[in-house]
Amino acid sequence: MLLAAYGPVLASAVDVVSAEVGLVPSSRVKNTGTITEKLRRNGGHTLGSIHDLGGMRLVVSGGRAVQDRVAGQVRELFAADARTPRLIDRRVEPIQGYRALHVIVYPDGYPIEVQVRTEWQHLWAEWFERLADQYGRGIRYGEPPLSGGASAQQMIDSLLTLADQIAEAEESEGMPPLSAVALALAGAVIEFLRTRRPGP
Amino acid sequence: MSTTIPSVAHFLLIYDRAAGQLLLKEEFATDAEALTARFAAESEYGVQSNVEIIAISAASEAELKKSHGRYFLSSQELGERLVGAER
Repeated sequence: MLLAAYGPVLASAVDVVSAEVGLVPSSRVKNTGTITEKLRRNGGHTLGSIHDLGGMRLVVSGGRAVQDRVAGQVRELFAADARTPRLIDRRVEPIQGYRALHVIVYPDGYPIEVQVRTEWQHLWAEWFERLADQYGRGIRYGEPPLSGGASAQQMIDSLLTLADQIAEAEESEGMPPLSAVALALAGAVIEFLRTRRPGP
Repeated sequence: MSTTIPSVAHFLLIYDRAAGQLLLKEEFATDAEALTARFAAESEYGVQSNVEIIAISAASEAELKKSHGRYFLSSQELGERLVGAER
């Protein structure tokens, strides 16, 4: 079974990254539900065309300069494999606010997606992913929320603006504080969620 | 450059997306055991859009909560974590 075969390859790749980068990534073989969702969403795709059946996540401290350095290290580590690693820069081409560097590596021919995120990119992504659980996973692709109506859409729009604010702050050196605008946006969304208790 | 491989912890998580609630967290000695448990759980639950069944590895449970806080924290807590990150 393909997914079971991924286990040892992924574990070995995690060992390589941990030893050489000095950070232990979290790792997982993609779960069946999200594979099914992805195949359905991207009609015509086959299991073999999904490049994140195996995945790792690294969250780096220090902003974009460190992110670039770590992604470069990951590329180097797997550069000798038959298939050359591929960098996907989601900072240049974000998807619904999601920004990160993804390096697709191919140990033993198996594609593994290594997500390299800054702390802010990660915290934003986790928040948005969680809201996608609540309002429908389609919001990650620009679809309207399945519940919550106009106020939920307004909240999602605020989060997308917040993602832009974070990107703008990160483009400067280091980790400058979030702007007053970004804090106000985040605060408005948190307040919205507070008023919707006891929901998640 | 160091070649020491740090230890890794392996977990099975079962998460209810709609409720934003972790239904089960179980630790295993190896990634293979966690993956086997995942396949068994998928047989039990079937593939449901609102139930996520994950075999996942991380340096520790604390690190897993940092890298995958979505499985452990409410929407509001995740937002507060972001706002608090710069302090």
